[in-house]
Amino acid sequence: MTPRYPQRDPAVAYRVLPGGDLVLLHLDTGFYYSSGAVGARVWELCDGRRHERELAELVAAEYEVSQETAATDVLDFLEELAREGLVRLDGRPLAE
Amino acid sequence: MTAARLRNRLGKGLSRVWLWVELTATALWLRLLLTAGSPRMALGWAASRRPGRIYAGREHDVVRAVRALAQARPFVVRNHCLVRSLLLFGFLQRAGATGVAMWLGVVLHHGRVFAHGWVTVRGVPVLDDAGFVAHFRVIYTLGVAP
Repeated sequence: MTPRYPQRDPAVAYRVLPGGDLVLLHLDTGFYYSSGAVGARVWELCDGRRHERELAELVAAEYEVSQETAATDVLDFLEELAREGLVRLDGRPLAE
Repeated sequence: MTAARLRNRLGKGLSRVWLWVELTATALWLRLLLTAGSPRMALGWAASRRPGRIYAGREHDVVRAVRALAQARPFVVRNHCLVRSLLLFGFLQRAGATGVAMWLGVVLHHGRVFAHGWVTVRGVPVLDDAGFVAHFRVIYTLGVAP
């Protein structure tokens, strides 16, 4: 499977709240979304330079969960973000 | 009353009426833009306002008119902080006011997102309570450096 490089959509404004929660505002739809601290970390990592497996590995290491669990959860989360138009899952990394 | 004073008074009255007409039409337009278009389009409209001769130096008239419009029932601005903020921001820009900024803030309460939009002029909230807006964490701004 071709690796995908999740990148935050520029039409999304976001804010990490003091408790670590993440709030997103899609400026094209006007919808707000929220996520917990792990989602906030994944969102932060979606810079278009790391592929999705790399994101899952980082999450597994940081939150001390198995690689399989992290991979499943992170990929599901990214798919959901992509479905809502919050991230792009490009097949190429973002140029430096 | 001299002719010049009469003309001046008539001019002021007319420009006040025109402000109302334009505000009302813009409020309707913004609601349409938010319904059929997107918040980004509405924010783009507000950001593109430039000082105009007709409203120059009339910050207080603009604030008063937007307040009255927001209190009118039933009308499109009532209970719609985004439209009210867009109107204030756009028309204060046209009045040539300095230090105008628009803010969108969020707060999480029992897992639900609550959002609010407000405008400040030189750091002071307009038509909003400073204590109330302090509860929100800013997620988007217009008119201030990021």
